Amino acid sequence: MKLLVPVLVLLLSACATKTAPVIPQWPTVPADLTAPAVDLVPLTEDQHSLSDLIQNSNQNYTQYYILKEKYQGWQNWYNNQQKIWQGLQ
Amino acid sequence: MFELIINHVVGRIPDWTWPFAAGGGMAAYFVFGIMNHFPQLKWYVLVGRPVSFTVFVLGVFFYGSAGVLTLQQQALQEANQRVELARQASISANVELQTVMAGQTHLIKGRSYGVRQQIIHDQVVIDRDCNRINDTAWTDYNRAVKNQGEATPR
Repeated sequence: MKLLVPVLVLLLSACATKTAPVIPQWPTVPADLTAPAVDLVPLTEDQHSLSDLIQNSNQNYTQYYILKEKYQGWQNWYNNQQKIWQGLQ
Repeated sequence: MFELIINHVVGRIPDWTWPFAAGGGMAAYFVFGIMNHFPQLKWYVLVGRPVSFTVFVLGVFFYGSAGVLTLQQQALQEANQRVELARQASISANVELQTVMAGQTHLIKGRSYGVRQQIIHDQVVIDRDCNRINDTAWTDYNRAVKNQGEATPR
C-alpha cells in the first residue's frame, strides 16, 4: 500500500501541469539572406585609368550596400522572429 | 515525460477503458480479499492486491475524477493553434522582409547603374588629368580591395 503514495502523487501532479508539450519548428530564413557574400572586385591588369578606378569603386560600393542590406535583413529577421517566439511563451 | 505519457499514450486509449479498469480493479481487489483466506494463495494475493487497487485508482482517476486528459488535450490543441499562428506570422514576416530587401537591392543596383553611366559619360573629363594611375597606387588599391598583405607597411 505504501507504493500507492508515489503513484498517487505522480498522478495528481498532472493537475498542476499547465503547459502542453508542443515544440515549434525553427523558423525558416529567406533564401536571399543565406546566399554567400560576394568578394570585392580588384582592378584588372588592363584597368589603369582613373575612370577605371572609379568604376571599380562604384562596383565595390554597390557590393557593400547590398551586403549592408543583407546585414540589416538578418537583424530584422531576428527581431521579427524573436517577437513571434515571445508571443508563443 | 509525464505530459508525454498523458498526451500521447494515455490520450489514445478510448474512454470506455477506464470504467472497465476501475470496475475490474475493484472486483479483483475483492476477489483477492477472499483469496487471502487461503494460505496457499498468499503469493498471488501479495502481488495481485496492490496491482488491482492501482488499476482501480487509475481507472477512477482517468475516467474523469480530475479531467486531466480533457484539460491536457485542450491545452495541447490550444498550443498547436498558437504554434500554427506563429508559423503563419513567421512566413508573413519573411515575405514582407524579402519584399523590402528586394526593393532596396533594386534601388541600390539602379543607383549604381546611374553612377556607372555617369562615369562613362564623364570619362574623357575624368581621364584628362590622370590617364594612367601610378603602379604603386594600383597595387595598394588592389591590396585594399582584397584585404591582403601585411598589417604593417613595408
